[in-house]
Amino acid sequence: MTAVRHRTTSNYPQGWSALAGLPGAAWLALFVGVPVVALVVRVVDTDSLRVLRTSVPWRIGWFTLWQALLSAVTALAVALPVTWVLARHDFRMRRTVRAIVVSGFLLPSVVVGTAFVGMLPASLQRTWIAVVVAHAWFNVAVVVRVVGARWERIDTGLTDAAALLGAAPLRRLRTVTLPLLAPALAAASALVFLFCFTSYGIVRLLGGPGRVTIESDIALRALQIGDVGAAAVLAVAQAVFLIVVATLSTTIGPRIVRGVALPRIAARRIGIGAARRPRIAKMIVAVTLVVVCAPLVTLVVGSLRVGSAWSLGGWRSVFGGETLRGSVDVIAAVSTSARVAVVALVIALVLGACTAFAAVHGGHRGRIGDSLVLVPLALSPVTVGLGIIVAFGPNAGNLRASWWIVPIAHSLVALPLVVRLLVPVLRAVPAGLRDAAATLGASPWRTLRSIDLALTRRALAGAGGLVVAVSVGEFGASSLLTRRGAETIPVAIARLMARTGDVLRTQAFVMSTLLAVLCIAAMILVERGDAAR
Amino acid sequence: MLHVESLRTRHDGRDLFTNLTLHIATGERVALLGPSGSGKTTLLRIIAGLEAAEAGRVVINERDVTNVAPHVRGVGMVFQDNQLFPHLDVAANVGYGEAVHRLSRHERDRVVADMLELVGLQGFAGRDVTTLSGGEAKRVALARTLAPRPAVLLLDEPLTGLDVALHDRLLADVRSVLAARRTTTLLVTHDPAEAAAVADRVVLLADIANVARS
Repeated sequence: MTAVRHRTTSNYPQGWSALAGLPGAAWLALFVGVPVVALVVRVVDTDSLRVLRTSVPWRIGWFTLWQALLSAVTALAVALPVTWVLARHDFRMRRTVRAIVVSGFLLPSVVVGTAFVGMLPASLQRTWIAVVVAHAWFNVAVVVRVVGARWERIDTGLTDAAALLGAAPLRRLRTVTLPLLAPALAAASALVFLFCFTSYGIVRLLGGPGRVTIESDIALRALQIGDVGAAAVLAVAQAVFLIVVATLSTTIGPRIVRGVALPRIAARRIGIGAARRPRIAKMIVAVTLVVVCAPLVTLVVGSLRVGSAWSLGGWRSVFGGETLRGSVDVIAAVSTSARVAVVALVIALVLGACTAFAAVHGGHRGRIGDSLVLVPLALSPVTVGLGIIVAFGPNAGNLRASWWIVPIAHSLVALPLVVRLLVPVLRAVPAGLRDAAATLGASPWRTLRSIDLALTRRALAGAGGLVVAVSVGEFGASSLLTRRGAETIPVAIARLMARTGDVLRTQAFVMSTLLAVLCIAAMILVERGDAAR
Repeated sequence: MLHVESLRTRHDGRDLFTNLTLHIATGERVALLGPSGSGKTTLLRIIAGLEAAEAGRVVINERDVTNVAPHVRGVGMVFQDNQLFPHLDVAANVGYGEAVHRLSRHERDRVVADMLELVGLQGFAGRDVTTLSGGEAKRVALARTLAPRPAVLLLDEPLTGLDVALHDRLLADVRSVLAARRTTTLLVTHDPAEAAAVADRVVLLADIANVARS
């Protein structure tokens, strides 16, 4: 079955798409292009490159590389059994189980880090094991989504045919299922690797001072040591490495892992009761649910315990306006995050909608713009933050000291995601509807409002939810750009977790619980918008 | 020899058929006729071990295989939609069963060449199976199933969906291939002409079982 493709020739006046593409392009040029150039100039201009002559960055780079590889392998190992159950079996609450399993990825990294601090025994904290376990947990959702989408399209008849040709279950897995899954396995591994390579929040909370990745070292050098030049060198080196890996995985990758086209519709699922090994499938679901929910339960439990006693003290101290020594103003942090999210929402949604319009109706140039808008994804949030610090310092209007810089940074992180969500929805609007509106006397403006905007309303709401979720959970850029006293919630959580004291720690759990609820609520909006496709 | 005794199966909470009994002698070709949705494919899947029956037993060459896993039953099946492995070429598809049974590369190549010759597809060994026509794909599926010499061959509406000219040509080929191999065969179809052309004996599902009314 092939998807219906609608004609996307624009019905709008020439020049509209170019005009719509301008604001997004200008925004990216100013807040991504200029900072990237500033970082490169900083690297070339100073003797910052000396940092590469020491062994420290190479040691950190080696740790970053192997922990990302190990995290990707672990995530695959943990996620594949439940991916199999969800792709191949039907059972009551299947959709709910899937939603719970993929919910981990919706949570901000700082929240996940806090949850694992609460869950792991003291002997495992500040070790590479803690980092890898949290990364694997975080990325189970990526594997379930990416691999599951392909697995459910593999006809069960293929493994049946292999069985009747004498292949035992393991051989069927090795010779039929895995080769057909290969492109999805490669894509999921690459994604998880890239996420874990640039992971910051989890490494900062769980790795401690001994386990530093390139990303956390950039932040450490820029924030605490004040060696912005060395941080810039590492940021540029990391960006180059990421671009090379991403390019290789999209160019050479498909040649190595050649995938065959599969039907677009899902294959028949069997009832879990009728499965050949129903007990194994049920056990996998149960164990996975426990593994996925344990950190979330830990957050709630952690928010209700002060020291070793059950107490509502954490919640009271957060909402009672009580400011403890060494604490952060929690209410102020919530209010800052809310204001930042609203501003980031307006910027990312307006620019994202305009850019998506240009991408769909702008022909060849639109498609180039559609690709360019992905550039911020290739830069880690910490690099975005560092670039802004270097580019907009005291010599350039000191914009970095302004409150606005945080929502601007969040808008850069969210913009590619908004465009990616809106473009397919806009593209799916049949051109015939615009033709019909035009023949009924509608002006281009009216057609835009009554056809395109009306049909993408739910997707826009979903994109809005995505921006809010990204903004309230964003930690990398915020930790570099937030001024003391104006912390966002994730920055406040990280500061609380760095302090000693039972109530402060409980406050961090309270805020993490609140943030988790907020992000899940925002992402429910996104799922609804996604369904609008 | 295939012997199916007192089979009962349910689908969507109702009995599809009960008390189904069928005996096929070694080397005999039997066609089973029945309307769509009457449970013909389900019967084949139960014989192959891909589905479990509510009751009854399946015996192949004097061995009760009711609870035996499909990969060690010695049953071959040509699926309605072929189920060729899309990531393997024609030769690897036809030689899959031989590879499972650890035949040497040389032996496997010989079997594949023989089978392709049997179904009239010499020179197709290196072809990508996703580029085959409907008739070619059906021949590859037949060759793949026959290659490991199964004790029982099951054919699930093997000629459905082909145009008339191709259907008639392939029907003649299937008949001659099955006659040459003398494999114990059960073919299910809703086409009486096809059943009569391929089989030594034609049975109606309603005559060998209590079939639920749809």
